Amino acid sequence: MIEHEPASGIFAGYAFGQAYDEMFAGAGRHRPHYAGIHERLCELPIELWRERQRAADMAFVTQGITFTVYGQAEGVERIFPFDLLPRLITAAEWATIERGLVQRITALNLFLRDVYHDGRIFQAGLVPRTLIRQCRHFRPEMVGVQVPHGCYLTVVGTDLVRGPDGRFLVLEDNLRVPSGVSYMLANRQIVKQVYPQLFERYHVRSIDQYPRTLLAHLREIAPEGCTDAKVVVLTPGVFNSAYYEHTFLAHEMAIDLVEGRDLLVHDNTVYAHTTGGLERVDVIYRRVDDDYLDPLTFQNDSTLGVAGLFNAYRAGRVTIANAVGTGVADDKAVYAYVPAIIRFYLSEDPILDNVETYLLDDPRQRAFVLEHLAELVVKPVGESGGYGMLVGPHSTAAQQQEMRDRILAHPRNYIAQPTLALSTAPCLVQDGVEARHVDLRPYVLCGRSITVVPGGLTRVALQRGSLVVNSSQGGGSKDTWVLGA
Amino acid sequence: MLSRVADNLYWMRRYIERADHIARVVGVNVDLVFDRAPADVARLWGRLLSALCAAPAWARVDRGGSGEALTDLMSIDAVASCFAAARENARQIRQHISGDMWEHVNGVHLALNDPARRAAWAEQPHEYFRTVREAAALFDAALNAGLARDEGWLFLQLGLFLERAGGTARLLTCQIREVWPAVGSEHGLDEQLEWICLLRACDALDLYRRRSGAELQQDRILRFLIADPLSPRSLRYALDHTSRALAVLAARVPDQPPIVLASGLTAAIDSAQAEGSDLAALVSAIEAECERIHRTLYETYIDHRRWAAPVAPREAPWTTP
Repeated sequence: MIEHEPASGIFAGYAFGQAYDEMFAGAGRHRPHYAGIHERLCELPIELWRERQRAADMAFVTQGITFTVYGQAEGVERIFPFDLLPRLITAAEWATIERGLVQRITALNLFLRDVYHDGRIFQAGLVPRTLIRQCRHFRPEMVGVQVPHGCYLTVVGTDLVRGPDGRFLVLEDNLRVPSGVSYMLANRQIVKQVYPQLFERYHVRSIDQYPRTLLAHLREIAPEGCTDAKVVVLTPGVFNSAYYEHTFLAHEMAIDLVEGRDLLVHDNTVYAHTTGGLERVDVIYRRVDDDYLDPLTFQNDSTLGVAGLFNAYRAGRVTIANAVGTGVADDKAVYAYVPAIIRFYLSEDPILDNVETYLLDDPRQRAFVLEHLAELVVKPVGESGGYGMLVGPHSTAAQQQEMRDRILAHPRNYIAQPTLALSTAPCLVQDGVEARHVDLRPYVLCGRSITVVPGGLTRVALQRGSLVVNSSQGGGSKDTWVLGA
Repeated sequence: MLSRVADNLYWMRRYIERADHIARVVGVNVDLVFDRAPADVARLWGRLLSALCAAPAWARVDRGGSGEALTDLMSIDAVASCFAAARENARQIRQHISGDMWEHVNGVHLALNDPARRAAWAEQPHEYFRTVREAAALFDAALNAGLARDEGWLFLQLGLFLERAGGTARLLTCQIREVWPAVGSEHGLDEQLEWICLLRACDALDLYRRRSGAELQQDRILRFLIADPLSPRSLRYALDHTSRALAVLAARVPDQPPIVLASGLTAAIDSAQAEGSDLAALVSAIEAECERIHRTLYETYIDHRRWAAPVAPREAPWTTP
């Protein structure tokens, strides 16, 4: 470590020691791989950084990279707040993450196949069958369905956080329709535009291949016997909060972006409605939740899906990616069993650990949690996007009481975890650089093989001290640089 | 190509052309009414509104009854909503247009809704008309430079020329209805000015001068705007291009029945070059034909009954139809 005088200048407001910090090993001592950025921050006046930040924000607005916030005035489009300073991950750290994710996703894919077919893991007594049956995203319709090539998971966005000792832990597995990858790619583009010189000092691994890799994997899992598969992206439509991302991916992969109303099913075959009549569709990369895919099988008042799609799927005539029913494996209660799942299917120890998790239908764990609500984080099991969670240390007595009542009414619907001091990273604020909490969502693509894209979305809790990084809850993001060896 | 995408391309182009059209005709009218008597002003604005099919909507907004408010309220909002609609269409087909085109439409949309710029434009309407016209021209240039001449291109062409023909035809109809009966008689300066303004409203004043000379005769102007085959602003030109796009489309999409221009229409336009033909009837026939093509286009390619198209045979499930 290189010694420096105590923080001053641009770092005057930097809080050291509240958690593992990505840049500083201690007050004023930056980690070696951050040297280039640290030097630049000290060299260049804050006005210049602010100017570049404005340029970056404008680039997002003019490119229309926006999302829609639910629960606010209709049609409010916002940019996803972006912080200029990149978050660095060393080659050695990345190697561990990569191995850990490949292992975890391989095991979860085997787990999904097992859950919907033989149930060996239930017979072995490692995961209670009732727990799975109670999962909100368990799809009894999927039992016995042969998924093309046994590939349940195609796109996974696993949320990682760093513990106090700097090790990466898995916070959540997002196995349904993880979003945010367009921000990962857009952030990199904007960084290249806004400060190309700084970029050259580092050997940063490229992430531009993401759309091509995704398309290659989607083609791999086309139904048996299908040559030259027609692949489409299925979007809920222009009012979805991630619509920009859907158009972006379809554009980059040069395939059709379809809505439910563009498709129809006839004789268990899926067709797109084109100017020349009907054209067959083989692989659907869907960005629509299971519930809305097919009104005949799932939610029957849904207009986003395609009537008869599930039957075509069950008949093996079309691939849906990710498969239907994968949500059972990212249920937050099932999460607690993932280490056991990895050991069961792969006979290996997990490379990436879980965050300690309390299951609230266990009376002893529940009693402990109810006593310590003020210190713990409580999350609903079937939700995503940070909706409905309680962050104990930042909650009022009334909120805790409300959560207590809800837990007692439906203990299976919640889990609790210790409040993690998420690692902090330097972020540009009005008068300088301050520490903000971050997490990391790398993207894993699978077909007949697994690709971990060397990068990810670093989400930032922009409010000082906040631990919530979800974009729907006021979080922002940073570019993530995985450094070459 | 997805029917919905064809629909979005078609309407995106129509709305941009419509925004350009509104900015142009309103801008011309602002000049025209500058030194007219109040009764004339009301008449000219009324004619403009009916040429834009906007009279009923305007009647709901216009409390004071003066045309003054028209430029800063109606035209900015009308153009802004055209761009908003074009942007909504563009947003759904971002993978079919270039990033530059999207950023351009998005940028214009944001500018048209910027309160500071709107306030400035209310003072300087011509600044505003110029901005819109430049935006439309830039968009057109980006399309021309950046898009493949594939099926999508044909829907853009159809959107452009059907919208342009419709807009021009309505302008002509309104002008003929009010000013035409005076044919042959001596016109005052004001009437002459109105005919010049018609040419400007169609963006065809210079074209007319080069093609027909400096002499401004109302029947010659009308015939020029209807029948000149070489001027990109004439009805004839728009119909020719529409007809060509439809023929190429029919060849590209052989599964659907071809759409052809009503027989005899081109011949009728050609004979309009002769004296004494009923130009008013001809213009409304052209307007009706544009409507018919629009409807048929929908029935054939976009909103066609889903089961009318052949379905791949069950024996060969993996061949792409």
